Amino acid sequence: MGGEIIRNVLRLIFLILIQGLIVNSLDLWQGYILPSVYIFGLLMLPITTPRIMYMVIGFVAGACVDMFTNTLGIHASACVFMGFIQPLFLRFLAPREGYEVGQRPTLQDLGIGWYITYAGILALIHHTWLFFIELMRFTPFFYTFGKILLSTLATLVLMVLGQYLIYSPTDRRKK
Amino acid sequence: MRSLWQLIYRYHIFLVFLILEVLAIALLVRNNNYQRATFVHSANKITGNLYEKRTEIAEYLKLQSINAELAKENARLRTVSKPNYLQLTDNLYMYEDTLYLLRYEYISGRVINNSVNRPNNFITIDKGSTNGLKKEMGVVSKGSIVGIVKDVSDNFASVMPMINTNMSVGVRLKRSGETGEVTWDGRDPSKVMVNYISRSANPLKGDTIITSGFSTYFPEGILVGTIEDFRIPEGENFYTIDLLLSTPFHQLSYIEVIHNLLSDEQLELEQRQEGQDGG
Repeated sequence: MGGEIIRNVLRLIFLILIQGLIVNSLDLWQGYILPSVYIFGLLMLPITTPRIMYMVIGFVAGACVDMFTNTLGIHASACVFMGFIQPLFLRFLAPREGYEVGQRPTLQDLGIGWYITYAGILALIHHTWLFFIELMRFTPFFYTFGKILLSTLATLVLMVLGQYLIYSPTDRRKK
Repeated sequence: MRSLWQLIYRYHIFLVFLILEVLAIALLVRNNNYQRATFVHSANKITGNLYEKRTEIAEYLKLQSINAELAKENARLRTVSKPNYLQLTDNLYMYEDTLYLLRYEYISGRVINNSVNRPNNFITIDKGSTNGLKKEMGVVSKGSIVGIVKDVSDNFASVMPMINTNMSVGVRLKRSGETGEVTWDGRDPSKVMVNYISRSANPLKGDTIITSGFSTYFPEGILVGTIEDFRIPEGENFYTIDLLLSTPFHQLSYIEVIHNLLSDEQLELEQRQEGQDGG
């Protein structure tokens, strides 16, 4: 259990650094697409995490990303909102017999269809909250909406590819 | 009382959610008022140093183009340097010039972090209060406008660039002199908008827009951009002008901070005037 916590914390720190130092300056399509890869660390939290912890961890992680972008509060609020929805959504997506003990919310453990629904919708919620809070208004609606969709897609692609690269199928059998 | 505790327990998750959201939004709103908590600022030590390390690596890879840029700048400066001029008269030489007073000083700096993809972008530079930087100083790059220093720490400063939706700068048409105001709508980092240029002006596509020099941030005549398109919206008395920024915010590497030596004097006078009007 202790190892699990350390692994999750290290993963989050690593992803926040990647987000702050590399992804934020990628400048895809003149900055129109802006993936948030660090939410992978939040989506990877164990299924048994207490509900409050999703929000607290989200707040801290979001605030760390905010420190890089000088936008204190924006990412934090988006992550808290996602952390609020996340456990509800996990329950909604649970297989009929419930999750097995030790099952992780990953592509390898629960299949690609499950993962894309899980990560895709939560990433969409996160980006929607993020970009509209950032603007503080709804005015360039379709412009922002396109930005949300494309950024979510980019985030999802990166997360799926990342999992194929990092976690090999043999990993699962060892477990 | 017991039922109250039961109620709180029942909705404690939602309550935590509300508290954290209110906290985040409160931070955000404070942030928008520019009273940013300095301890979580990109000018702070941790992220500042991390950004500097990254810039060192990135700059190593960019050395060639930076060299070319500097060489060009050198050549330009060399042509205006003193040995290139003939001295026509040698009977007038002043040690303490009473005719001219130095008003603007330039402090050069390096961009160590730069964003262009958000509605409220910021630039972090590697000069801070130890180098004489203060809040509210203008920043330019090769003679064209970059932004205004918003916050300084010992060794870093963060600059609010033109491409920040909270930014506005007084400008004028170079050709005919009408003044207006530049703002950014948060979309394209190469374009801004000029408002309040009076109807009587006669702008043309390609006209140059420069700083007005009214504020204490910038001297007059700093290049802002060129007119791409203009129109008068229905029922208004002012032009709305689309402006192509002359500063390439995507590829900023070196900047100069303008120290206005007389800014305190100007501000004090203006404030005194306002005080009298108010009273």
